[in-house]
Amino acid sequence: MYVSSIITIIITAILATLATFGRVALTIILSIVLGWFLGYAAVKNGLFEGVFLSIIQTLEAVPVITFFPLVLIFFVKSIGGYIGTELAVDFLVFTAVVWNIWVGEYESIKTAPQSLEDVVEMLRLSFWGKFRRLYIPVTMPRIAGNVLVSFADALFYIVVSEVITLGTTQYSVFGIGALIANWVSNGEWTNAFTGFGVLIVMVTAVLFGILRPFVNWAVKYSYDPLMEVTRTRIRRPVVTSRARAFVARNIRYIRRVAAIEDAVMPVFIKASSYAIRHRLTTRPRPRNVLTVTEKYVGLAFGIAIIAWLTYAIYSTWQSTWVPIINDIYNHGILYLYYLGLDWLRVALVTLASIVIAIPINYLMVTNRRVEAILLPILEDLASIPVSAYLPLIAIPFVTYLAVTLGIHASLELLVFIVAFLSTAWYVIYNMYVGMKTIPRSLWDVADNLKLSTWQKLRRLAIPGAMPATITGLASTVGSTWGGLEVAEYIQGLNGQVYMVHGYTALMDYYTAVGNIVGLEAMSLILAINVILLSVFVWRRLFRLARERYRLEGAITL
Amino acid sequence: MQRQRRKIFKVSPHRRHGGTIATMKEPILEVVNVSYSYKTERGPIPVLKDISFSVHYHEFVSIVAPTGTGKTTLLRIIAGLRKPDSGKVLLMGEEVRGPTPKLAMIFQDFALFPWLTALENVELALMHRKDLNKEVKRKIARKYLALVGLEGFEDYYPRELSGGMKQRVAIARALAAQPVVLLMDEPFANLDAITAEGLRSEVYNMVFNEESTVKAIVMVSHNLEEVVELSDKVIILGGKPAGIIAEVDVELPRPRNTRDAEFQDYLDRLYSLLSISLRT
Repeated sequence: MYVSSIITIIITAILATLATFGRVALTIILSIVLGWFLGYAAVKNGLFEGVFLSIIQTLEAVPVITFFPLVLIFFVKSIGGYIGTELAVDFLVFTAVVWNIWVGEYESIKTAPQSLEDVVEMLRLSFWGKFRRLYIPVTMPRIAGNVLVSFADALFYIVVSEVITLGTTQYSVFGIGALIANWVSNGEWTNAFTGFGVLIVMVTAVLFGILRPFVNWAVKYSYDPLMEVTRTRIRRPVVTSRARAFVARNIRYIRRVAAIEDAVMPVFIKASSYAIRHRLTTRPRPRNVLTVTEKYVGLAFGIAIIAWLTYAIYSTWQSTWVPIINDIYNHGILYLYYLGLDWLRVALVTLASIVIAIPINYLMVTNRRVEAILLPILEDLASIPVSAYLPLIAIPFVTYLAVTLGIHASLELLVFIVAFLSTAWYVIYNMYVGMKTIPRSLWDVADNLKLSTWQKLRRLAIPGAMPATITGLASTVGSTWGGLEVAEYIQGLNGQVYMVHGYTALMDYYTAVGNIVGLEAMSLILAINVILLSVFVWRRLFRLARERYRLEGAITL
Repeated sequence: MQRQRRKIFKVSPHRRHGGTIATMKEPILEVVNVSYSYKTERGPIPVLKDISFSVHYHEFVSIVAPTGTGKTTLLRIIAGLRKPDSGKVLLMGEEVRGPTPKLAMIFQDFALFPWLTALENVELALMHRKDLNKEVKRKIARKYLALVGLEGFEDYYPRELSGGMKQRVAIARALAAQPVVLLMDEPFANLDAITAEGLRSEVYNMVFNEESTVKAIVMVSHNLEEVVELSDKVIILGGKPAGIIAEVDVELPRPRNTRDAEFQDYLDRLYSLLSISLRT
């Protein structure tokens, strides 16, 4: 009886995890396929390029999750029921994974080797021929570099969004996130832990069984014409049977593809170091120059689109427009105060992540044994979504620590830890790529000059790792917001609600009580904030990283 | 291996030494008053101005200029990959209006697709041929790989080949496209000195061969020694925007010996001309 119920639970958890993974896979594949065409269009058309890039740059740093309730309302209203909820969830995950992938694809196509482009033109390959043989292959290393991060990101958001309570209505879809949340709120802890265990096992399986081999495979698509010949042992297989010949051929193929693998270089870093190299050394190919007519046409289109959007927003919100303004008028100061509080949290968490990432990465980069052990662990940990185990780590904070520290300090600590856990991996990962790709010769020089560890850190490791860290910052901040959103407002634990003073906490509260107007007002403020941020902070930061900290010829595969 | 190949692929009898064959006066390729400027966001920057020259049957023409003069751009214009602002390029009397397999190009960085094997890279050149089936394409590709001396390396990926072998694959691909004119953009610049020398001595025979459809070669280079070794005519560009400063006919019998006094004379002449072009 007991055993059979455990088995039922495990099977349910496996099915739910499969459903969740299915959503993730679907959205990632969809983004990849769409990205090929959009990236190609952007590269070929200057007008589209400008629009495409500004949209991505703005939306990349958006904490999508905070807009989820409104998205959900929209989908449920216009499509309705389970399908509406399902589409809303998929849409949310899509917006979480898509930007990284699109930027990567665009940049790969933009920097496709000129000579290869010339070759396909000269050989008169058809549109599909060009796509199949050039434009799709060149994006592979970048896709591989992004897919691990996208997978982790997607899992984080999907687990939160599978179940949402809006006022008195609960919307949920079948998936591991909804399942665990359900078990937790019913107090079925054994089930919750079992489900979480299943999730961990399956995440690990996907990571090591699918994603890492994919990364490994994708590296063969990197273009480095002057790469030295790899020493491959060519054996002549004794062919006795068809099956054996087949096996031998494939083993030979795998061996050859894998032969480029530097034994020390861990698998996933090859793709991402390639990715970063591309990001930083994007060949200064002239941007598509616009003619005067094109500029005017573009301007006209831009104005038309903005006008149409404004009208659309105005007309759909017409009934609530006045209340929204009223709401902002009444509670604006409070909203801004909470926004400030949350930015303070984000800043602290980012700072803490950077401070912790430096020694960890220094150790990994300078000590191969540490690297070999730590890296796969970090990778795996990064992919297990905090949002799934949040209720489990929240228990001591609302029980024992709440008593000893006081509920406020205890919750604040919990928020910090959760936000940190949803950020730190990405910071470590980005910085690692930067530090790992500092050329060997510079390390040798440092050793030769007998620099102390501190000097090596200050003069070499940290500045070398900066560009990768900074260019990753926009998306890590997005993750921090995600962490805040799940941790600032915890519902359903012991039948209680725990919240701190914060922007996302208030939004969650509004969601729970069904205060749509307040939600819309807060989303509006956040949207404005995000756009300003992207225009005034991220772009400048990226430029700084590209110009100031670029190590000439530093990043080698 | 080298000797063997020479035996199998005998160089065609009407290959010329020095002057143009009397019956083939018509130029294969004509560049007529070509001007070009880079379009940047700060307005156009003129790079090439009024460039005219012609290439005749079985002629090896080299374009020499200091770096940054726009010689690669000129080659791309000839190939139809860029549109000149004014002027035109004529291939056997017909204007080149876009990229065509009749003008095949060999690149400094070899331009091999890393995700395709040597054979697949060569087969790319036959993709536009709807009249051939897969088997035939494969056979033709094999033939050209053998022609450049890479028999047995069909299934290797570019990264498993040495620099010299990569450039051989690129040559095979260019020849498989069955071009009329072969364009070479610093083809030996990324090879080590010894490999480059070996390939240089072979390339002429590989390209002007019975199996090959190539009727003329245009090469861009800044290595004067290789230019004198290979060319029948040398065109020197200079100035900003660049124009033709001089045309020098190299009338030395082949195979040429870099240590001959005459060879050195040509080299000296080119050096002094090039230094003029640097001053202008």
